[in-house]
Amino acid sequence: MKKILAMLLLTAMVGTMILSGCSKKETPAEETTEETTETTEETTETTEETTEVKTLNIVFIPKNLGNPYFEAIGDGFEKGIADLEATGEYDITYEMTGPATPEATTQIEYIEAAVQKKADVIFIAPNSNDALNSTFDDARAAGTKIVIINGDIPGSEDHRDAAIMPCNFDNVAKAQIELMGSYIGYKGQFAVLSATTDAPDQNYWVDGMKEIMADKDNYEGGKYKDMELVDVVYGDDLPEKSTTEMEALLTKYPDLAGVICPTTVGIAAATKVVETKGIADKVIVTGLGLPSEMKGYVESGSSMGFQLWDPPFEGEMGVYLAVAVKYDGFDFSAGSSFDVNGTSYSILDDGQIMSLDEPKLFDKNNLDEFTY
Amino acid sequence: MSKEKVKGQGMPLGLRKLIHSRELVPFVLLIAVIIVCVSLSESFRDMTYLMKTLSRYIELAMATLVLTMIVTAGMIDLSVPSVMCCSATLAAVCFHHGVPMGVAIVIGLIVGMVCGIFNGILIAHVGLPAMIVTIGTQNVFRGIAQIFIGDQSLGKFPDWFNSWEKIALFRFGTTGYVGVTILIFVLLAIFFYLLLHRTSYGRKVFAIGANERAAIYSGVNTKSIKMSLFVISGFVSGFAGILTMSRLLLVRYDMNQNTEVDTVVMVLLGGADINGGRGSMIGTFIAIIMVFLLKTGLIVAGVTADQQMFVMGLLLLVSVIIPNIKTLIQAQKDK
Repeated sequence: MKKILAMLLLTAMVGTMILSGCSKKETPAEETTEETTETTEETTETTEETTEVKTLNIVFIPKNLGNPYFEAIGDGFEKGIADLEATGEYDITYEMTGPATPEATTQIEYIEAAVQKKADVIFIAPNSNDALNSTFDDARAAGTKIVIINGDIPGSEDHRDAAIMPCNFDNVAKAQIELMGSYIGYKGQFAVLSATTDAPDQNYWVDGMKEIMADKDNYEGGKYKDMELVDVVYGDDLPEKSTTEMEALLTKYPDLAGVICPTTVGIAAATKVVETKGIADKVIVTGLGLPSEMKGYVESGSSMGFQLWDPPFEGEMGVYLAVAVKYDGFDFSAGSSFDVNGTSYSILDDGQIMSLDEPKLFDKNNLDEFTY
Repeated sequence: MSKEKVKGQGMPLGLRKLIHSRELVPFVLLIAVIIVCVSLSESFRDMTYLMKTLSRYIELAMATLVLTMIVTAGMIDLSVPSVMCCSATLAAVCFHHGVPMGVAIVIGLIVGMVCGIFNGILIAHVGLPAMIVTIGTQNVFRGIAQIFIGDQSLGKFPDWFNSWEKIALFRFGTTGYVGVTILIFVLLAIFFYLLLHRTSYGRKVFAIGANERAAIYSGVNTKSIKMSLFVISGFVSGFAGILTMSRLLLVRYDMNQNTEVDTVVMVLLGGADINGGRGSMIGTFIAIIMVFLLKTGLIVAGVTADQQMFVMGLLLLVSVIIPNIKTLIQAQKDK
């Protein structure tokens, strides 16, 4: 009796587990099967009418799921796909899938699964510059294109087909100084609060700013000649250290008119300092910030505005790039180009595509539109 | 009551033995997972893809075989993935300091064994709880890797070392192949099956897990057996780490991070008792295949990462509850 009871319970347990497993997984599975049957029906119908529906399979693998910045890129993919499908010419399969944590090799299985599903193009924001190289090679050998999104993989460029860059980094330094200048009337002392001393992007921008300021009397007709770059400090992308460095700047330079923070952690910390001290109108903090983090400061008036990239547009661009690759003979060769909403974008010698020429401005006029 | 008893006795002996075997649960689950997966996605009828994916799980699975013996002996080793990472990292560091790759591999294996010895000394000789020790060393070993290479990848190994998993044992279809690492895994599984279930060493492992004091009084040198288990674990983990490095073409400090739970799930689902004294190499083997199929199935079916974690967590609970359900009922009745 005991044994039979035990056996019954055991079967019940296994049964419920299988059932719960099934019901959990049924939803996506049913959807996809329905979709595929629908599309096959559609295609058979349409071929009879001799209008061709162009199919496309796109997979987007972010660094990890649940990251608002990458969700915003995903929104861009969905917008681009919705626009294209509204024309009736396209049938696009899209999936945003990825690991829970941003570790170097956790993305491998998602790439392989995408290749298995015959994705035409995989857009990926890799967690490592080189840990995925062999996986990329296998995927490309199987006919899937690999496009890095929101950055590049320096040193491993041979293993990807192209890279969609968030912005032309050559123009960031100038755009940031121009923004600072416009806020402080092109006059007065300003400092830079950067990330770590070896952060490659930040150093590139800070060096660019130093170059402009060293040549300020001649640069653009001396537009910035009354501005002075007094110091560059490093907050190591830690909120506490950034706060300390910001307070030290305020003590050291009592006449400081502004601080440029080309890092999202730095700008949030520095803005908080001027807000707490009630000097946000005397010392203007700007730089590169995340709309979601800066929203409160913009609403309270502590931040006049800041810049960043346009993640949804990167996704939208991805959709048009994938279409160009599959149907317009776009082969990633340097100089070849494709259109996004009527604007032509071309691929540079190093395989990079600039989604923005200059960083995008966020201030009280447009901040509500953004969720990342 | 008496009627039922007669019924039970009427069952053929083979069937009764099957029902009470520890491999039943993982086997039933395996069948269920296969059915669900095959119905979910066409990819599951594609052996090429399955074999390729399997080669990615196989290194961790090798170390899981040894973990089965450790759990059977009433202990646990949560440092397995960290040992894999540490061994591979130090081998790679040696290679980049001019040591020939062959020697570097041997150094990696030795590092793995040293990690195992370190665990073993603290657990077997100092007598600390295995759970606490290996949670600590899990971070220590990975920390060592991080100290040596930081957030960098170390690769660029000689060609003969790269992609061992792609060395085909035999080919099928157009691009399908069974890699040599899968063969190594099967051979290791057979070896550890014989060691655990067919030798006196294996009987001693069971004895320690069932009742360590009794084992001591029966003349079993429990310290040396425990020590040897961790050394084997370290060695196999080191070997698995080097295979992983060959597959990835590089090593990073976060290699195999957060896979500790997977290894424990595989062992427990295979029918091993977390309290020791019970364990089955065949069960673990089946559970490994099952977890591999389930994880692949979830990814191919587009189940999001957080839901996958939910399923794996549920699986861990089920794997602990099911084998103990009989005991639980028994305890309830005795009250």
